[in-house]
Amino acid sequence: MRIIDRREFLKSASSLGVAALGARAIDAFAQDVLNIGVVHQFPIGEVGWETQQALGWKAIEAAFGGKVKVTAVADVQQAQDAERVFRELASRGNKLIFGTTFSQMAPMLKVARALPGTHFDCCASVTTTKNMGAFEARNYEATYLAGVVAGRMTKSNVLGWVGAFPVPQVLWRLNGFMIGAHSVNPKAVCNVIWINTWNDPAKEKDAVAALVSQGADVLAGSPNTPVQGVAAEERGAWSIANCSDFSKFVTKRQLTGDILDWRSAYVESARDELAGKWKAQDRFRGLGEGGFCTMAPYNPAIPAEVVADVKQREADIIAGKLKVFAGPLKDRDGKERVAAGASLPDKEIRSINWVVGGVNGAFPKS
Amino acid sequence: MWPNRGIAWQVMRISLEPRVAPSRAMRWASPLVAVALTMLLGVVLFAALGKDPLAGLHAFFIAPIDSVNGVAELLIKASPLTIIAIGLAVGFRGNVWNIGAEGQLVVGAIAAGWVALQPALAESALTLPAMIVAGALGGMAWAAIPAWLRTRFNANEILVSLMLTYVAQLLLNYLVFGPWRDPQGFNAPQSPLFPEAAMLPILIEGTRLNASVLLTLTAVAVGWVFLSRSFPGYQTRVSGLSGAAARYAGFSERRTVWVGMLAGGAAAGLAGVGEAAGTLGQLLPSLSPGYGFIAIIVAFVGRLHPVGILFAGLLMSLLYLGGDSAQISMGLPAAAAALFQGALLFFLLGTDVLVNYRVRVRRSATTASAQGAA
Repeated sequence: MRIIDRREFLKSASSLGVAALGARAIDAFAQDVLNIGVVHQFPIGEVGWETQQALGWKAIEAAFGGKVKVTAVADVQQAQDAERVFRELASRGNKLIFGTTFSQMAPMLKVARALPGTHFDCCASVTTTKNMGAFEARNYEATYLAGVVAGRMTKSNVLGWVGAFPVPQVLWRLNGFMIGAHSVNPKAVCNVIWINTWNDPAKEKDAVAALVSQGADVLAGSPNTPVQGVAAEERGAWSIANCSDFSKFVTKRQLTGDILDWRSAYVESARDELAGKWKAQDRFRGLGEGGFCTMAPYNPAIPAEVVADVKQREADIIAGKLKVFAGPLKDRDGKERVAAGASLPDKEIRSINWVVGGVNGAFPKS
Repeated sequence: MWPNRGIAWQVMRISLEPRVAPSRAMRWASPLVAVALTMLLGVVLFAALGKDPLAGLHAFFIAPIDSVNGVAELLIKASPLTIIAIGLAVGFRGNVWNIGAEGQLVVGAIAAGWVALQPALAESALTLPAMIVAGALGGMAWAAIPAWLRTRFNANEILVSLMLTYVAQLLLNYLVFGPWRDPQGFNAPQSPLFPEAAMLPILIEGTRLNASVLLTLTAVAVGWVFLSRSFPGYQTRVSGLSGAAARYAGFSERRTVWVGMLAGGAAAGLAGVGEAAGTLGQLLPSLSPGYGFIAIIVAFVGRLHPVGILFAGLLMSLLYLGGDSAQISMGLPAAAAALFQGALLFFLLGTDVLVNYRVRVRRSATTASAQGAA
């Protein structure tokens, strides 16, 4: 473990000697230890994207204890810098290296090509090579369930979505949300405001205020922090969490949330690497055992029959009986995107650039 | 002085007084003093974190550059900072405050990217020179807006150039999310990869060191000749030191503004070419980690002198590399690296102040009653 938090800072500051002894003990076993590197784009906070990634590699440490040593580098914001850090991690004997975000895919591809003896796994990557795997969440399954809840709970039939960027990862979540809401409430619409940032409290608050003044009473989107939920709560609107559960901060009016859980992605890669069987895979998983997303606790204000309905749908999704992007499905311009009886192939989900009917708001044209 | 009633207050007044003649020796020594103080702080910081201080300093300052690859990375990171800072220094010397180099970098990269993505130029030997010219012109065009508004309407170039940075970023977003989006890129916001002919050549095989550093070295030389040896450079410096004297001598203020802004814009545009056609090879929504802003610090740490700026750029680059390296080898938190960088700048500016000013501590006693009487 190479990330230091305050508690450890205090611990190590007060026990210099013990730390030195510990370091020597680790060195003695260094030969047998699998060194694993992780590169975070931003600092690891209490909640949010980086936190969920960190829970992934912390699960490796919990599962394999002394057999692994994880070195996590935080706050490597640019693709240019990520490439250097990937190389440095590899040159220092890390045999398995994780990228945590889409923008690290391109630099990781370059490094993976140059270093065929090292294994790489990149979250949100859309490409795999012989020594570089990918993992990505089908979190539209979770936003579908959140949409069912939102469709039932809205009084105004107006939902709000604070959009970070119109990238496929956001659009498939938005579409899942709308499809879920429509499945129980055909009158529901969803207004979207793009804020062009993953994290900017001032803009997020403004967007929430604007959406609420347009009549939205359930707010969703891509919040990386509880800011949007708190702003919605102040205005008496419900909210849906994303990435992490924010119920500690949004104590009253968080309905539920789609939570990312990368633990199995990290642990399986480490397990295979330890067993000498690592192979590049493209893992695209949603709800269920070993999946990459889960639901945040349901608010007690949600009627029991709604929760029961949502849980039944969750079971159907896991069993493969319910597909979110099932035909017939049209985009908001009326063009048929999925024929009746079919469902959208994974490749098209991962490059989705259209939205279903009921979603209002401007989109960049390509 | 001490009246028998009322409360006595002893007031310490600390004031800075300009020195009559700053010590020449101390002017040169102050950066070294600042580095020494930063090292000292580092020793304390590492010890408090339970790390071996010497190993910490080694991880920060030596380990990143103990290999050819490390030196290459140092130069790659220093290159955009240095070239932008030199361009900005031309303006800063003449009291022209171009704060928008970040936006000029982005527009330079967009212009170069447009050239790179022309199918007709995919295999032409002219592609790269055309990109370099386009990048410089793009940056200059973006800097020309605040220059024109300043000379025509006396609009504040600090605000205009800064705000145009956000416009440039939105323009880039529009392009990579819209018309220039890679059709094979899963609708991710990025342009197609540039063809081989549009990439800056690698100078040392096996590293990422590309020809952008040659552009930067050229800029250092040109910047030095311009500022120290040319008549327009002299005019710029006179305008900066005393606007009234420059006017009296008949030097054109407009020309100083135009020269200062366009030099900064061209340099930032070239830095944009270096990123897009060098380390990235495509246009992404996020091209620069704020090189245009960090370069302002580099320009001042280098005392607005091209050679000083070169060293300042290398130092700043080393601090970034050292921060990552110390995270990997020592387990230092990312915040410690930022703290370290901040401390160095603090000490640099602090010692500078003390070179030019001296601290006077005056004690004066007053009393509540005396104040009441007065």
